[in-house]
Amino acid sequence: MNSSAPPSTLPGIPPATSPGATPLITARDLHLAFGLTEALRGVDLTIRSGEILAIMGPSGSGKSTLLHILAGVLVPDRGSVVYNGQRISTMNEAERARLRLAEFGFVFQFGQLLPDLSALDNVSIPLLLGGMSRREALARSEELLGSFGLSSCKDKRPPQLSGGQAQRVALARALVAGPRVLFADEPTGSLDSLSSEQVMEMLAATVRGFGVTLVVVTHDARTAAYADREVIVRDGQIRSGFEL
Amino acid sequence: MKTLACARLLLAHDRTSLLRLLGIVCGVAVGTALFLTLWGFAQGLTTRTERATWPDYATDGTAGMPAGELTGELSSDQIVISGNSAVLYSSLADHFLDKRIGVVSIAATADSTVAVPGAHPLPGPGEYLASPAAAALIAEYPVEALGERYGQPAGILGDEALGSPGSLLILRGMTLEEIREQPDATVVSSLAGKAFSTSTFRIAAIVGSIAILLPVLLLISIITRLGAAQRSETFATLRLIGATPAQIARLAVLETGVTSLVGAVLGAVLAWAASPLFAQIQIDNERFFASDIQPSLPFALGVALLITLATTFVAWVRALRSQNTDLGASRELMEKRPGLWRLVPVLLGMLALVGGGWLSSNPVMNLGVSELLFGALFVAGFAAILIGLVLAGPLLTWWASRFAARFSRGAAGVIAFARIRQHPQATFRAVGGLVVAVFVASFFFAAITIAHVEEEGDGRDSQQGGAESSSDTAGASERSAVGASPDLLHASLSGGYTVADMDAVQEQLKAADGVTGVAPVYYHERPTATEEGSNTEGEASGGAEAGPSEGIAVLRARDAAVLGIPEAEVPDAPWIELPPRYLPSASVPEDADPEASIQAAQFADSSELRPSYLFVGYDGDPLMRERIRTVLLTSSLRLAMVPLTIAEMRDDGATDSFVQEYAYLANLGVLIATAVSGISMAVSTVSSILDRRRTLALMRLAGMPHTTLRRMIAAETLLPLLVVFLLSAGLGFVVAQLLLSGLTAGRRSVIFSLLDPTYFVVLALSLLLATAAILATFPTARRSTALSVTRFE
Repeated sequence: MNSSAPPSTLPGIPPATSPGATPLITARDLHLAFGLTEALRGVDLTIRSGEILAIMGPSGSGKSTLLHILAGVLVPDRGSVVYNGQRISTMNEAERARLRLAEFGFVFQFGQLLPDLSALDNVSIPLLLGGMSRREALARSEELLGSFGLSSCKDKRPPQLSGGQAQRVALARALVAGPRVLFADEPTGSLDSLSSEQVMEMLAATVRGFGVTLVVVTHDARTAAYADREVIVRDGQIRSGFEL
Repeated sequence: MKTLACARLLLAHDRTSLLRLLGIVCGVAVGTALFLTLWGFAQGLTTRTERATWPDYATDGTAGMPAGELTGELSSDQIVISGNSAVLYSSLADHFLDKRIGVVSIAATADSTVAVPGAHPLPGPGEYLASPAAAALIAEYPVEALGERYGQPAGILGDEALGSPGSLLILRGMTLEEIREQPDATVVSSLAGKAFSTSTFRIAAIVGSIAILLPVLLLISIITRLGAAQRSETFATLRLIGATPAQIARLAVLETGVTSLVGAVLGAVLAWAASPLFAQIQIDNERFFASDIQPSLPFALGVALLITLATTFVAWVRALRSQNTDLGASRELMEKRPGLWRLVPVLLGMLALVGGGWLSSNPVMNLGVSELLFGALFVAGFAAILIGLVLAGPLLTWWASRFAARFSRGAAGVIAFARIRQHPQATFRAVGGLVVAVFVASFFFAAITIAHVEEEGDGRDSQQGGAESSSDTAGASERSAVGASPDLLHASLSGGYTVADMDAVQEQLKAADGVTGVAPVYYHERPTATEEGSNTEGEASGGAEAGPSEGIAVLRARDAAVLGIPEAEVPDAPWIELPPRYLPSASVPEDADPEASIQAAQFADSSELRPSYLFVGYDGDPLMRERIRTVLLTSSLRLAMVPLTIAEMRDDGATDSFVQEYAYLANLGVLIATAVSGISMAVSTVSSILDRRRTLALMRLAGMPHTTLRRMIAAETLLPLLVVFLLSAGLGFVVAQLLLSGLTAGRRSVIFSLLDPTYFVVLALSLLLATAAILATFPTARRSTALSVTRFE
C-alpha cells in the first residue's frame, strides 16, 4: 500500500465548525429482535458532533446492529433515534435513504466497491446520485483521490487494487459528498496491521480536520485507540460504565 | 475428497443452494420439454404432409400414365406399369359448406396388388370408405346434401391415409370403365405421398427447425448458469481449504450433471406424456395425430442424455478454467475483451449462402455438382449465421457500451455501462435469446412473402402437385369472375354435349328445389386473324375465353339474368357474348378489358357451340347449395371438376400453398422462441443481480434509491437489446433474401411490400416482452438487494 499523509483539504467538504460541542445523534431505549434473538435490549447512546466514537464488543453482541440503527439502515422495534433534530426512527425508507445519501458516509470491511467501475467512477457515484453533473463529479472525485495519494490508481478497477488502496478509495467515496457523519463497520477487518494503521490514521486525521463525526464498529483495540471515546456492547446492551 | 460426500455436505441445510438447484432442474425440464415438443412438431408436419399428399402425387402425371391412353376393354394385362400391378386412380377436391373434402376414386383389377393407404379392403364399385371426420360429417347432414355424392358407405378409412384426425377424405370405388372417364384419371403402380417435393423444401424445413430450436438451447444454457457467482465463491472457499482444481471440477460436474439429468429426464417424460395434449394444437387448421409429434421414448431419453452431457461438459470446463488460484479469494472472473474473431462465423455463414446460391444458379450444377452440396451449404450457412449472431453479440455490445458510456450522465448509466463493458458476454447472454428470436422472426416473415406470391397464382414452387393448378384457377377467378353472382355454382363441363342436350338439362335443373336459374355457357371458336372480316363484333368484345385457340363464351340472352347481368346491358339478340369478368376461367388474359360491354354473338349455326359451363343460381341457403351440388355430382353430366362458387375457388387457392403451411409453423415457432427468450431474459437479468447482490445492497445502504437500481437494470438490458435488435432484424432480411434467391436459382426474392403486418406486431411484442421481463425483475432486484443482505451475506 502506498502510504500518504492525510489530506489537508477535502474538495467539496466544508471545514469543521465546532467539533465535539453539541449532541448530533441521540438514541434512546433501542430494542430490536431478529426472530427470537434480541439483538438490542434497551440501548441509550449520545453521539456528539465531530467526535470519533468506537463501538466495541464481541461477535454477535449487537454492535453492527446498533450502527445500522443509528445510520437509519434498520428501524428499531422500540425506542428512538434523533439525528440533528430529525427523528430517523419514524422516517419511511425513502426518507431514510435520502438522509443517508445526503448526510452520512459508509465504509465497510470489504466488497463495497462496485467491481466494474474504476476507482474514479466508484468515488463519483454518490455525487451522481446526488444530482451533480458527471463532469463536475469526476473533477471533484479526481481531486479527492489525488489528496488521498491515489491519483495513479484512479483508472484501476477494485480487483486491481490492493486491500489498503481499496479501503482508501472506499473512504474517499464515503467522504466525497461531504457527509456530516461517517459510519465505519470493521473498516480494517480485512487488512494487515500496517495497512490498518495507515487507513485509520488517514480516517482519523480526515474526520478530525473537517469536523466529520465518525462512528466506527470494531473489535480491534488498536483501531478503537483512535477514538475519542468507546462504548462496549455486550448481549445487546451497552455495558454500564463504558460510555465515557 | 469424496466428491459425493462433499456435495451432500455443501447442500445439506443450505436452503438457497437447494432452491438454486431446484431452479436448474425445473428450467432444464422446461427447456428439454420445449425442445422435444418443437422437434416433434417439425417432424409431425413432415410425417403429416407425407401421409396427406398421397392423393396428390398420383394425379400430377409424374407417378403414372394418363388413363386416357388406355383403349378398348380394360383388363389386368393393360393395367400394368413396368410389369408391376397397377390401379386406375383419380382425385378431386369436393366442397361441403365451408369444408373441403378430398375425394379419391379408384378401380383395380381383381388381381391387383397395389396397396392403397387406409383401405383394407378396397371399396367396390359404388361404395366408399370415409375418414372418421368425413363419416361424422356425412352422418350429421341429410344424405341428399352430402352422402349421396359418393355411393354406399363401406367402412372407415385407416389413419395411414390421413394427414390429421380431422382430415376429410373419401375413397370411392369405381369400375375400370367409369374411372377412365374421370378427368385426370391415371394408371399408377403405387400410391404414396412425399414429405418434400423438392430438396428446396427439405432445406427450408431443416433451416426452420434450427431457427426454432436454438433459442430453447439458449434457455437451457442460461438456466444452468443460475447463481454462478455464488457457486464460484463456494468453490473458491473449497480451494482455500485444500481442494484441487480437479476435485472442484468433479464437484461441479456432479452438481450440474445430476441436476441436468433429473431436469432433462423430467422434461423428456413431460414432452412424451403431454404430446396428446399438444397434438390438439392446430397448424393450418389441422390437429395432429399424437403419434406424429410424440417423440419415441428412446429418442426423448437420448436427447435428455445429450443435454445432460453437454451441460455437464460445459460446467466441467468452466470449473477448470475458473480455478486459477488456490488463495481462496472470491475474486470475480474477468471477461476477456471480445475479439474481432467473433464476427467470423457470421461472415462465413454469409459466404456459404452466397456460394450456395451461386452453385444453384450456375451451370456448374449441370456438371454433376450434387444438390446435397449446395443444400449443405445453405444449412451450414444458416446455422453459422445463427450461432455467429450469438457470438458476435458480446462484441457489438462491448462497442455499444463504450460509445454509450461517453454520454452517460447519471449514476445508473455509469454503473450499467461499466458493467456491460466489463461483462459483455454476461450482459448479452440476458438478451441473446430475444435477439435470436427477432432474427428468426425477421427471417421467417421475409421468407414467407413468397407464400403471398403463391397465393396470387404463381405456383411454380408449390409443394403439392394439385396446388399449382387450383392456385392458378383461383387467381384467375379473382381477375375474371368479379361480375358473377356469389350465389352461383360454376360447373365446368368436360364436353360431348349439344345445345339441345343442355336445353334439356336446363329444364330439369330448373325444376329442382332451391334453384333460381340455370345458364349453360358455350364456347364458340372465333375466326382467326386470317379469317377475319365477316365477324368483327367478336373481336370487339375483348376476346372472352381467349386461349391456345381463340374463342368466345356465349349464352342465350334470356339466361343473362342468372349471372346477374343487368337487363339494360343485354343486347336485343338471341345470343350474347359473355365478357371475361363473368367467367371462372383460368385462361382469361390479364389484359382483358374488365369493363367490356356485352355484345350480340354472331355465328352461323348453334352446332358450332360447345357446352363449356353450367351456371346454377340458388337461393343463398348454403344447405340448398349443397343439395344442388349433390344433384349435379350424381347426375349423368360429365363434369371436369366439382361445381364451385367463386368464394370456394378462392379458398382453394388460398389454402393449397405448402409454403403457407410452413408459415404457420414459423409463426408458432417465433411466438415460442420469443416467449422462451423473454423467460431467459428475466432469468438472466435476475441472475446478474444475484451475482452482485452484496455490492448493490451496500450501495442501497449508502443511499442509492430504488429508481437508480431500476434504471441500472433497464440500461444493462436495453442497450445490448436495442443494438443487436436492429442488426438481427436486418440480418434476418438479408439471410432470407440470400436463401430464397439461392434456393430458387434467383427466381424468388423477398418482397418487402408483401411483408405481413404481423411481423411488426411480433417486433412490438418482443420489445413488450423485454419490457415485461425487465419489470418482472424489479421486485426480485429489490428483495435481493435489501439492506439485510449486507448483514447476512
